Amino acid sequence: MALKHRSPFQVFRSVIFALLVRELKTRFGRWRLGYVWAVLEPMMMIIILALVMTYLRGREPWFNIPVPVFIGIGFLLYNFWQSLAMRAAGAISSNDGLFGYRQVKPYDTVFARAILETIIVVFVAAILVWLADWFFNLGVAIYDPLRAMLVFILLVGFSYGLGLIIAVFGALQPEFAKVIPMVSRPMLFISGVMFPLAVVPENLQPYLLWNPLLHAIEQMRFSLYPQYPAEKTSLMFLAGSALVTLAAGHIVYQAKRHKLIAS
Amino acid sequence: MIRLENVTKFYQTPHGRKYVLRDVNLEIPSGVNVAILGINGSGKSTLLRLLGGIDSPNSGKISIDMDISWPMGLAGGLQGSMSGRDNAKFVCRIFGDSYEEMQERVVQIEEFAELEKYFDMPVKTYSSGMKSKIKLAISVAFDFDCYLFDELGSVGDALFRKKTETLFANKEGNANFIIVSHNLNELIHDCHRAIVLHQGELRSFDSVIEGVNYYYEVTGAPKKAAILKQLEAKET
Repeated sequence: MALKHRSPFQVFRSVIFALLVRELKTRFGRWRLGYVWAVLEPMMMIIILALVMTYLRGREPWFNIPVPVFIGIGFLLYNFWQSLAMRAAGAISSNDGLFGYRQVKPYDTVFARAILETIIVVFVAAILVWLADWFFNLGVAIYDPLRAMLVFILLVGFSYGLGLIIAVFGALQPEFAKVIPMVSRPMLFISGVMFPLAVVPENLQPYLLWNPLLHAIEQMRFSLYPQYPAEKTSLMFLAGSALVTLAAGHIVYQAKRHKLIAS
Repeated sequence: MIRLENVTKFYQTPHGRKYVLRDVNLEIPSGVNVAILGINGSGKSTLLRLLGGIDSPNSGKISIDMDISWPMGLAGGLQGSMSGRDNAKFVCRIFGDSYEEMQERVVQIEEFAELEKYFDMPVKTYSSGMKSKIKLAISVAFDFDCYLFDELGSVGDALFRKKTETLFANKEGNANFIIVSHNLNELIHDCHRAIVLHQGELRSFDSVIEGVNYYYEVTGAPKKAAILKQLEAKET
């Protein structure tokens, strides 16, 4: 069969698809439940955390948001951000055998993993909304779906930019990858996953507001429940953070891309 | 035709720049098999990576007007936790095969590789000979004009080697290869031309014998009796 001559975009598209299949196979292919784990794993974590927090706080909602939904939104977004950063950190080094094919660039491996994490979180979110609304009767209605989508897209941009930076430095300096969980775990407590920003003492709030993840989580709650107080966080700050990490990520990659292949 | 114009390639090391190629000009016409000779670390693999488009030169230009394979070596190219079949599919996908094309090509690869039940087992369970076989099988399933072999080893047994030779002889449009190998006997037998890399300099020879002689000269390696005999036989 003769070889095809394709545009760079066509090559990129087919490489991303090939990497996605490879990623699914190596991550989930060996288990009996297989791909179901992709969705089940984060979902179980969210459900367990939501149950524990509901038990601790009782049934009293946070600003009209039922506690399990409140925690669910926070932890879903946190978990997405965290797993994207973690996956990205190892993306380049765990695929370096494949850079012997000139079609496969280090960038593609990070991109493919980000796509996979994004697809997973969308599935998990859809299933959780369905479970919460129909099964547990918690009355989840997405008041402003466009805003919710925008928040999510901006969070994807922010996380991907960050992931790209982490991927490049993680590949050049493997010790860097060890630091990621040390930084990302404490983020669980300062990103408003467990409690709203409004209950944090006023004098501490300005410090917490430097964290783009907090903006994403609070804004997402606001998109679902318009009476939720989120006026201190803003879409603009989130958009700005996304722009900064995306630009930085691409600059860092562009500057170091030759070093990434020459192993 | 492959053309290198003023190509320079160096690596930054703690002791300054290490030049692999210094201002190299080279033309390789299509239709010839080329042997690349040089001691370890002289830049043979780097040259293949440059030709394969994996790496790019620090300065100069490389122009290639034919379909060239990826460099096949002992390391890389396979994903250990995936089966031979899945690895083959991966390569088909990055080359833009449709589902039907992929199925057809994988059958071809399976037949050529002769790995039997190992084809569906993780590549990390393969012996090095089996790894070489599957790499070769995947690459010959695509119609490249030129294949890059980087010490792929004597692939498999005599039978498999015979099959590979026949395949190369019969391949449409005259497929050729550029090969790095320490097996001089094999190079003298298979190749038409030689390139010798030594301390950043590249010299090209129209016959492998001249190349091998020059290689012995610059490296001071002791000539082996068997190779001498073959050189003489070829000269007369």
